[in-house]
Amino acid sequence: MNKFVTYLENVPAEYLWVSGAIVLFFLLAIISLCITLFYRGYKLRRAAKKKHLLEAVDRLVQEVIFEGEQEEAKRWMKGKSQEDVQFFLNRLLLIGRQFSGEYTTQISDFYNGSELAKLSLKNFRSANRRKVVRAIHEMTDLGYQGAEQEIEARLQKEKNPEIQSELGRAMLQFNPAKAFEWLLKQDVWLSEWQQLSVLGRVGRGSYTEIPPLEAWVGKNESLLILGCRLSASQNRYEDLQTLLKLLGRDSEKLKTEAILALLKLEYEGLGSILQAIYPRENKNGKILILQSFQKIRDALNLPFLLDVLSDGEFEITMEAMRAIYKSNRGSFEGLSLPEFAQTDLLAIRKHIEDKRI
Amino acid sequence: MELVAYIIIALILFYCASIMLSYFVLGLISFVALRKYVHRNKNVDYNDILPSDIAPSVSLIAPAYNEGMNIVENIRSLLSLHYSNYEVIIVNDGSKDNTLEKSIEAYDLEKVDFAVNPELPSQEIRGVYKSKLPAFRNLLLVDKVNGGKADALNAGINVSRSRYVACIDVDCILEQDSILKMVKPFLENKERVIATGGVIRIVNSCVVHQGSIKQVNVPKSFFARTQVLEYFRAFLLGRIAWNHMDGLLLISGAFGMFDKEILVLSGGYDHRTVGEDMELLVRMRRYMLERGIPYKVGFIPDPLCWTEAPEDINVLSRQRNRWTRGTIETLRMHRRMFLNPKYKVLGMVSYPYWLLYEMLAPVIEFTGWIYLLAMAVFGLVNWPFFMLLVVFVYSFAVMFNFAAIQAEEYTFNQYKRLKDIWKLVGTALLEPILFHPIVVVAAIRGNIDLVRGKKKWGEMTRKGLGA
Repeated sequence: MNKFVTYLENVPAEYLWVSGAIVLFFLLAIISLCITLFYRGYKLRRAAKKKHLLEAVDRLVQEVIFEGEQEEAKRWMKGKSQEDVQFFLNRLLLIGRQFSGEYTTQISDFYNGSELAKLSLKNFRSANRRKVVRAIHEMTDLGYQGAEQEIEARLQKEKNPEIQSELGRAMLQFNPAKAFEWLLKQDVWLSEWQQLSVLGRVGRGSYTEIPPLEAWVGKNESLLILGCRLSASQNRYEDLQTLLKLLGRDSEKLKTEAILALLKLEYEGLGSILQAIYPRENKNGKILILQSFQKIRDALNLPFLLDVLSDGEFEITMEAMRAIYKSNRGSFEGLSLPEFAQTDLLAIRKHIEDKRI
Repeated sequence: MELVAYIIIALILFYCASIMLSYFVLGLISFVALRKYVHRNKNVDYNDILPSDIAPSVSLIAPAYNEGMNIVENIRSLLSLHYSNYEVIIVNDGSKDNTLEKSIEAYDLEKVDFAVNPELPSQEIRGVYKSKLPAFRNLLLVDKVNGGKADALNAGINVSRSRYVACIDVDCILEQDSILKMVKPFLENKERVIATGGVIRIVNSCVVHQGSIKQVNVPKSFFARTQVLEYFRAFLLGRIAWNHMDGLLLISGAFGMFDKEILVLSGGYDHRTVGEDMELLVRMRRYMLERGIPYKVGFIPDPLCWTEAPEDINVLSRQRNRWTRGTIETLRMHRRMFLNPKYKVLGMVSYPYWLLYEMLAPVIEFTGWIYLLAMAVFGLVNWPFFMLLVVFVYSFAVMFNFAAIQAEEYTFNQYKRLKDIWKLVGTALLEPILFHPIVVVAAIRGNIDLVRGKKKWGEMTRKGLGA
C-alpha cells in the first residue's frame, strides 16, 4: 500500500487527473450498461410472465363478458398478487372498450362486484400520479358506481393540472352539467387539444345540458371559444345574440369562432354583418369572411364580392372567386368579372370550375 | 517553442473538457425531460381527437427526385396514416427517371387546372395532378422543373391548402399516428407553436411491408448501426435537451411540421443553402423574436419517422459533407445572432454551441492530428501522456454511447431482443475508432468544398426499402 502511495506521489498531477477521469468514465459506462441490462432483463421477465398470464386472464374475461360467469374469475383473483390483479383489470379495461350495450353492463357488474373496483379506488386515493390517472380511466370506462361522488369530491380540491384535466374529462362523462359548472366556476384555461377533447366527448354523447353562452362570457378566452364551439356543435339558437355581441371583440380567435358558430346556426343577417366588418379585418379575418360567404351562398352578396376582387392578393382573390361562384349557383355565367390581373383571375376561374379538384 | 506548445495543449484540453461537460449537461437535461414526457403521455387518449372534424388540416409535402424505384410504395405509405384531415403533396422535382409516369399509372392521376399561389419562390410548375379514384382524393402530385429540395418544398407549400405543413423525405416511413402526435404540441400550448420536430430512426434491416414497419431490427451493416447510435445521441440526448431549454436550432428535414402562415411570412425555404432545414427554423425563430411575438418550438421524442441510413462510405461522406456545409452556411447567414442577447437562448447559448462544438469541432480535431504529426516529426510528443489522452476521450465516447442506449431502453425500447443490445454495445465500443474519423474527414471536405464554392447536394444513393 505504502509503495503504491509513493508511486502515486511520483506520478505527475496531470496523469493522475486524466487517469481518474478515465476510471470515472468507464465506471459510469459500466453502471449505465448494467442498468440497461437489468432493465431489459426485468422487461423480458415481465413479458414472459404476462404471456403466461394473458391466456388465463383472457379466458376468464371472455367468460365474464359472454357467459356471465363471474365466480371463477373472482376465485382466480383471490390467490393472486396485486400486480396480477392489476393485469386482470388492465385486460378487462382494454377488452371492455371494444364492447357496448349488454356486454358493457356485464363488465360493469363484474367490476363493481369484485375486488377490482376496490383496487381502482385504492389507486385513485394513492399519492402516485400515474396510478391516479390510470384509476380515473378504470373507474370511468368500467362504470364504477361511486365514481361520480369520488371524482366530484376530488375535483374540488385537486391542484395538479394533469389529474385535474383527467378528472374534468371523467366528470364530463358522468355528469356533464357539473363538469361545465366546475369549468366555469374555476375559470380553467383549456388548450386547443383539451377543447377538441371536450367537443369530441360531447359529440359522442347526447349531452344537451350545456350552459348558455352568456354564462361563458367574462371567463378566460379559451372557455369563451369553447362556449362558441359548443353553441355551434349543439345548434343552440338561443345563443345568437351573445354570438353577435362577440363579433365586436378584438380577439381574432374569438371572432373566428363566433362567425363559424353563426354560420353553423345559419343566422340570416350574417351576410350584411360580415360585409360591414370586412374592411377592418386582417388577411386571415378576410379569408374567413369570404369562406363564410361560400357557405351562405346568397346572390345578394355578389356586388360586395365582385368589389373584393380588386384586392389583388392571391388567396383573397381565390376565396372571393369561390364565394362568387357559389353565390351565383355554381357558375360565373352572366357576371362581369373585372379586367385587372387577368392572368391570375383566369387561372383561378379555371381552378374553381375544375370539378376534379 | 515549449511555451507555445504548452499553451496549445492547454487550450485543446480546455476545449475538450468543455465539450464533454456540455454533452454531460445536455444528457442529464434530456434524461429528466424524457422521463417527464413518457410519464405525461402514457395516458393520452388520441381517440378523442382522431375522428374530430375540427382537427386542424395538415399537408404532407414530400419532394421526390429520381425515386422511381420506390415511389408507388412511398406514396401508399403516406396515404395510410391515421388522421382525419390531411393531404399528401408529392413534388416531382424534375426527375430524370420514371417517377412521374409510375405515380400517374399507379394512382390514376390526371392533370387538373390548379391555380398555384406564387407566394414562395420556386421553379416553374409544369402541372398539378389529382387522382380520378375517390380513395386517393387527398393525393396531389406537382410536376416541376428541377430546382433542388428547398425549391421543391416551396412549390409544395404554394400548392398546399392546410394550416400546418409537414415537410418530409418521400422515402421515409412514418408511424401511423405520427401526424396526430406532431399536431399535439401545436394545440396544447398557450403560446403560438411555429414548428414541431420528431425523432428520426434508422430503417435499415427492418422488415417493411406495404409501407409500414412490421419488425424493427438492428441494422446488419456496421455503418448503419453506428448511425443508430448517433441518432440516439443526437435526438434522445441532444435535441430533447435543447428543446427543453428553448434553444433548438434544427428540426430534421426528414420530418418536421410547421405553422404555414409563419413559414410563408418568414420567406419559406432558402435555395442558397444545402442546410435548408436548419436555416428555415433559425429564420422562423428570428422572425418571431425580432417582432416580439411569443412563440414555442415543439419536439416529440417518440419514434415517428424511419429513414434509410447510408451504408456505403462514399455516400455517407457526401451526406456529412453536405451537413457540414449546411451548418456553416446557416451560421454565416445568421451571424447577427452570435452572443446577441436580443435572441435570448438562441443567441447566447445555441448559436455559440453550434459554432464551437458543431462547426469548429471537426476543424479543431483535424488540426490536432496535423499538430500531432508535426510534433511527432520533431520528436516532441510525450507518447505516454498522449496515449492516456486518447483513452480519456475514448472512455468518454463509450460512456456517452452507453448512456444513449440506456435512454432508448428506458423510453421507447424499439429493439426488443437482448442480442440487439449486445450488438449496439459492440458498436458503441468500435464507433469512436472506426466511424468517428470518417465523419471528421467528411466534415473537413465539407469545409474545403464550401471554400471552393460548391453548392450541390451530392447524390444520395439508396438501396431502397425492399432491399
